[in-house]
Amino acid sequence: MENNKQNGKVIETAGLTKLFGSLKAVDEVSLNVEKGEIYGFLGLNGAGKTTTIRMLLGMIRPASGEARLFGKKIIPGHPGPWEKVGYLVEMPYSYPELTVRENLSAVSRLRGLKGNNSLEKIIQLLHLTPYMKVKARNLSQGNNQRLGLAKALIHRPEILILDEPSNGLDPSGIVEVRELLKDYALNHGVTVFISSHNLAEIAKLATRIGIIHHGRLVQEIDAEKLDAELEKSLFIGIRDRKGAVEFLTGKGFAVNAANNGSIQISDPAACEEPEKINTLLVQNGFPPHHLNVVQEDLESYFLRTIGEKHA
Amino acid sequence: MLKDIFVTLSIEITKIRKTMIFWISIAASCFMSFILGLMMWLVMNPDLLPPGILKTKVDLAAINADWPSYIGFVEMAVAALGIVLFGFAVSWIFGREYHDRTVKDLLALPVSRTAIVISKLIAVSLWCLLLNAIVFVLSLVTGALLQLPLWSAGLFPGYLTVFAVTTLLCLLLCPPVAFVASAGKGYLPSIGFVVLCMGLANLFGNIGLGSFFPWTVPMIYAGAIGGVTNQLPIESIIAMGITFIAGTVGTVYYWKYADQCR
Repeated sequence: MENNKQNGKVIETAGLTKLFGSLKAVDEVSLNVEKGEIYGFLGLNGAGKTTTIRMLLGMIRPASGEARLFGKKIIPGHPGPWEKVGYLVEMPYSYPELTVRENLSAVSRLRGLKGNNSLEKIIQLLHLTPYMKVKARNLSQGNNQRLGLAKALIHRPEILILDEPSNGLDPSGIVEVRELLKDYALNHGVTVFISSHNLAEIAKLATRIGIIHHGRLVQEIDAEKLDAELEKSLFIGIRDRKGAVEFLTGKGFAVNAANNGSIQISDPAACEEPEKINTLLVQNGFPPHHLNVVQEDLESYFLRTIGEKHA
Repeated sequence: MLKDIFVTLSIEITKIRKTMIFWISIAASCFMSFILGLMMWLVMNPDLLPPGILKTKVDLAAINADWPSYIGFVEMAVAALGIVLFGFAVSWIFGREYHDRTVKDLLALPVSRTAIVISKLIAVSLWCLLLNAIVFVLSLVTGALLQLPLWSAGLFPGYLTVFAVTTLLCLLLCPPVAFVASAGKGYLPSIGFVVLCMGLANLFGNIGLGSFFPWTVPMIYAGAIGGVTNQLPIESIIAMGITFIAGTVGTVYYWKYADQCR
């Protein structure tokens, strides 16, 4: 615990592993999340995100390894630091016959909150005021998601563990939740552990990203360094494509014929200084009519990462 | 722990009150009382019934149209139907958390899972007590309306005692159903379990081993199987105790330690 206080780690896993029969759902996952960080936990469906989250919350027992929150080892059925943890696991479900207010009131009482202040605040914060008296069974998917988030946030937790919280939200709702979580982390020191299968969405929010694939944590990267990891390509539109490919290959460039009728060079030097390639081509009788440096999108990067690591 | 139980119990009661099934169960209790009264009225007026299945049933019941017979008839019905009705109620309380996938919201809270399970068992007991209280009061009202003969003040304590003990015996059978609803992750497996146990209860009752089988015991006690005894042999007390304790411990253990993937 003392060590934990010194290094500021509030979420830790060490060799966390879970087997379902012969399937290794989570395989030796070790990660640390510091106070105030937003950790994006990225993976395809079935990669092991939810199983990891359930182990962090003491809902399932690891086959080996351990999870710690605030330095306290999480053991299913044993007391944990739950008063400081808010969570949303998979799709949120509420008691369908209770209204929004009644559902939140139940959570508020289970969390030991006094009075109605927290309840009123969270209803306003998540824009649920018009739906206060609506039964949960009659809510849209988006408002059901807001209710799930309200249940996770009602007690102003120090750790937020959220499993795909943007599911079902419309674009403005996604931005709203993103800004809300950023505010919690940056201005209130809340540590956010958020899972998703959407790197583009996670990249806008997280300070650090962990990619899980087939149960293994295959990469961790600071979000600010993500840009440098993305591959760039120079696309050149040219009439004599065959001649230009032969010429540039002869000059030592790795050249491919792109699907859009242009040629593609992925050499970092070519992408950094495309004007030099242009000059070279013009001087040798291959004048381009179009040059474009394109950065790999996040989806491609994610798929490339899991593809490489899995291979 | 007591504070946790109090908090979770009040939430459970709110949840029960708001469900349609609660009101359906109350309607079922009223309907059951009405049917028992109707049966007694038909016993009083056998000539009103045309020949058929219903008349055969009334004849087979072989009861007299008086208070002692009516009370015995109600006690038998409460034992048999109580097991089923209570089983449905406990299946709902535990199974719906898995069926509606709300259980995950109860697993990482400052309130212990043991307190949640205990408060659910208390809540279902209160629900079942209410249902049987309705049947008890309505049975007296119906008997009075039918103007059944042979009422005496001395009948009431005996009726209340047998009714209360039968209700308690049925309540002791709730925890194993709660375990099946939890481990089966829904209310359908536990409803199936209750139906299976009722079938086995009849089987064990008919082969003379009913006093050892917990689901037969309330029916033996109330006289629905093997004639009126209103007694509990030692093996029945032990069987009921083991069933209650095993069911309660098993349910708490499941909620605390089993992998919760719903």
